[in-house]
Amino acid sequence: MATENIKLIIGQQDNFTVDQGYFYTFDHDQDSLLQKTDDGNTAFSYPFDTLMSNASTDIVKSAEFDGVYFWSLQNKSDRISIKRWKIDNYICKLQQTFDYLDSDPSHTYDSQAFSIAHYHTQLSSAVISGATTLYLDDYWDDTTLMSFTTTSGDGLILHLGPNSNGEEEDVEVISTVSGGVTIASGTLQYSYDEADIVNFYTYLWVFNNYDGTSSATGALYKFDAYTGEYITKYAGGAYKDVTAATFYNVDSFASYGPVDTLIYIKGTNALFINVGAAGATLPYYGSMVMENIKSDESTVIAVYDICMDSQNIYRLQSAVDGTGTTWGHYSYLLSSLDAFVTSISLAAYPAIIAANTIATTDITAIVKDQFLQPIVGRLVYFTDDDGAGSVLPISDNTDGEGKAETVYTSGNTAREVKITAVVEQT
Amino acid sequence: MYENINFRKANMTFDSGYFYMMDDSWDALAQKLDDGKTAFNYPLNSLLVSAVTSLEYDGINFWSLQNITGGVSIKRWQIENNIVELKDTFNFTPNFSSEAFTVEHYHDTLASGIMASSSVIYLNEYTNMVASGVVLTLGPNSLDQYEEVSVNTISGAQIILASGTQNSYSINDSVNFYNHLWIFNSYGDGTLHKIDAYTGSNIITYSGSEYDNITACTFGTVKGTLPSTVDALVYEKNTNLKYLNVNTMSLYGTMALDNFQPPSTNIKIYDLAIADTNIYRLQKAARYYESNYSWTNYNYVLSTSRRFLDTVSISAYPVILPANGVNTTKITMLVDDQYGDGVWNKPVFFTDDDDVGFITINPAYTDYFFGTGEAITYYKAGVEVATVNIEGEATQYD
Repeated sequence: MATENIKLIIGQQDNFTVDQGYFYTFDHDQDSLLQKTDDGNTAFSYPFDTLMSNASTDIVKSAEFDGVYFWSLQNKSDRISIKRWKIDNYICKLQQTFDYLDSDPSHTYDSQAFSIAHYHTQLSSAVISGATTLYLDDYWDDTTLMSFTTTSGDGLILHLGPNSNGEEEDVEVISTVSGGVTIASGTLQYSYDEADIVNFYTYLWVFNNYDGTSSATGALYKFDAYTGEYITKYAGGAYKDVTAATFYNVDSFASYGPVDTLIYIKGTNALFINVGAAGATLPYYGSMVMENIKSDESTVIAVYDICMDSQNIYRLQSAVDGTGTTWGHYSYLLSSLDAFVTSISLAAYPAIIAANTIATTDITAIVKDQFLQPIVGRLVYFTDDDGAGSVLPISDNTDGEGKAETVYTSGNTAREVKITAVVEQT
Repeated sequence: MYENINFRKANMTFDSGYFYMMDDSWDALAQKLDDGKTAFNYPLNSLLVSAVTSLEYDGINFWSLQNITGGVSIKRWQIENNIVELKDTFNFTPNFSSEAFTVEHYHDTLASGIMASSSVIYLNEYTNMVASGVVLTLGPNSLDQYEEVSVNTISGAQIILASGTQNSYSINDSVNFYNHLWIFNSYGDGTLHKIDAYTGSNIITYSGSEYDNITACTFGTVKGTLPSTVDALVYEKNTNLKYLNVNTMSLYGTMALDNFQPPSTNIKIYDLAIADTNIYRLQKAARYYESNYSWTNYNYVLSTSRRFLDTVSISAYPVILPANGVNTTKITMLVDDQYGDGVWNKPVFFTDDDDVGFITINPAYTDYFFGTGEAITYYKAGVEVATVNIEGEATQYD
C-alpha cells in the first residue's frame, strides 16, 4: 500500500506542482508558497507579497508552474481568480491577476482545474546583447505558436535565461527566420550561451462547470494568458466536474511523437487534448486509465491536482489507490507515462462445456497497456484451478493485437473453473 | 460462485472480451474486465442525468435506455477520439414504461472490393435487410479507415449509395448496419414496438402479455439454436429465454434458464449480452449448484445457447412387479436440453440398488432418429420384495 509522502493539509493546501524534485503548494492560510520535499518536510517557504484572505473560498484549488512563473486558481463565491506569481528575491511576488466574475451576463464561472500552455526550448547558438535574431532548438518552425498575438496586439514573449551570470529577460517575437526568430532591435539586454533556456507561454485553459451560463454541461475555456481576455470555449460534458489538469510535453503516443498537450482527469482516465488543433472541437492525442479507484472497483478516488515530471504523473489524493483507506492529508500517487501492462481480458468461447475430460474451450487473453494499446510479443502464462482439467499450451506470446490463446480441456467434475492469465512486465 | 464484473449500475453489454457499463454517477462508459477491474474509461460528452437501465452495442454504436418523465429515452452513442459522443436521442412518451430494448443490427462483409468514389456495393449476406435510408458503416479497410454511407436504393443484389465512398475497400471488409429499435413496453398489458432506428418513429406495435414485464433483452447472432445460426431478438420472460424471429414474429425457440431460487423466487435479470454461444445475464443474485447467492453489485451469470443436457426424467412401466427374478419393467429416461427438446444419441448409465435384480441394457442411448430424448432399458426383478431405486445418469460428451 502506498505510504503518505508530501502530506499537504486538506482545506489549506489543496494544490501542488512539481519542479526539479520539489513539490510546491500555495497555502492561503500561511500566505506562502511552500517548497516541499518528498517526505512532507518543508524545504523552503516563499512569502507572498500580496496576501490572500484566510477564508475557505480563498483556497488555491490548482497550481501550475510554467518554468518561470507559478500560477494559482481560486474558486471564490463570486468569481474564479487566476494569478501569476514569480519567486523573486525569496519572495513570491504577484505579477498579474485575472478575475472572471459570475456577474458576467454571458458566463458563470465555477472551476477546480486549469492550466497554462507553456513551452520550453533552448538557444541553438550563443547570442550577444543587442542581437535581433535568436536561434532556437525547437518551435521556431511552429508558425501557429510563433505568430501568437495577444488580444492587445503584442507578439509572443520569450523568456530567456538565466544565463551564466544569472540574468534573464523577456523579449517579444517579431517574425520567424529559418531556425529562429527575430526580435526588435535594441531589446536584447544580455548575452546568452548556446543551450541557455528559453520559456514561453500562450493561453490559459480553464475547465468550467458551466457552458456560458448553463450548468447542463461543462466547457473548456481559452483565455489569453497575457491579457486574461476570453478567446473561446469548447462545450462538452467531458469538461464538467474536472478537478485536476496540467500541461506537459508528452511522448507516449507513437503516431504523434512528443506533443505539448493539456491533460485532465475525468473519472479514472487522464485525457490528452491537442489544444493546437483548429475546429469547433478539440481532438485528443489519447487517453490513459489510472488506478484511482477503490477496492470495490466502482468508487472513483478524487484527484485534486496533477503534475508531471519526466515520465512520472503525480496525482494529489487523500485516499489510496485500490483501497478504501483515506489519509488525513493529501499525498501523491504515481502513474507512469511509460507503457505498462495494465489489463488482461480473459474470455472463454464457449464458456460452458461438459465435464467429461474431452470437451474443450478456446481461452483468449487480450493484454493492453494503460493507453488501451495492445502489448505485443509478451508471454502470457495460463493456469487453472481444476485438478483434472488442463490448459495447453501453458503459455503463449501476444500477437499484434495483444492476444494470446490457449485451450482448456475440461475435468470430470461439474464446477466453476477459474482460469488465470499472468503477464510479466519486462 | 465467483463474483465477476461487479457492476454498480444495472446495465451491461459485451464486445471482444470486454464488458461495458454506462455509469450515470460519473458520466462515463466503463470498459471492464471479467474480474471487475477497469480496463479503460470513456467520458461521456453529454451528461446522463438519470440511470441507464439497458445498454446495447451494435458493433459501432452504443445504445442506452433511460427512464424519463412519462416514458423512456433511447440514446445512440459513439466512441470518438477517446470520448463518447451523443449521436441521437429518441424520447418515447407518454404511455411508455420499459426496462428492456435492443437494436436490430447486422454484421456483413463486402462481396467484392470497391474503389474510392464507388456508389454501388454488394454484400455477402444481408442485402435483404438493407433498405433505403439505412446507414452502412464500411471498414476498417487495410488502412484502418472507416466511413458511413447512406443507402439510396436497392436493385437486386446491388446496393446503390446516396454518394460515392471516400475510401477503397477490399472484398470481405466489414460492413455494419442497424435498422430497427425494439422496445418492450410494460405500460398496460404489454406491447413490443418496432421503431425506425434513424427517425425514432413507430413502425408497428405488437400487443400481448407476452411482452409485459420484460427486464432484459438483446439482439444478436445466436449459435446453437434451431435450425442453425440465426439473428434473433432474445428476451427473458420469467425463467425462459426466448429467441424471436423479427421477420416472422415467431419464435426460433425457447430456452430454460436457471434464474430461479426455490421454492418460488425468480431471479431478476437486468440486462443480457450474447457472444458466440455465451449468454451473459446481469443479476444481483444467482442459484448455482444448489446454492443461493446474493451480491451487493451486479454480476453476470452464464448460460449457453449451445444445446446442453438440462433435465432428466425417469419412469418405469409397470412400476410394481413380482419379486420373482423373472419379470421385467420398462425403464424410460427422458433427457431434454435447455430448449425442452430431447437430446440425440446420448448415453445414459443406469444403476439399481437391488443385489439380484439388474438393468438389462446399460448404457442405453437416447433416441437417434426422432429426437424424443428417450433412452429405454429394462429392469429384471430380484427375489426379495422391496422398493428398488433406479437411477439414470446422462453424460454430455460433445
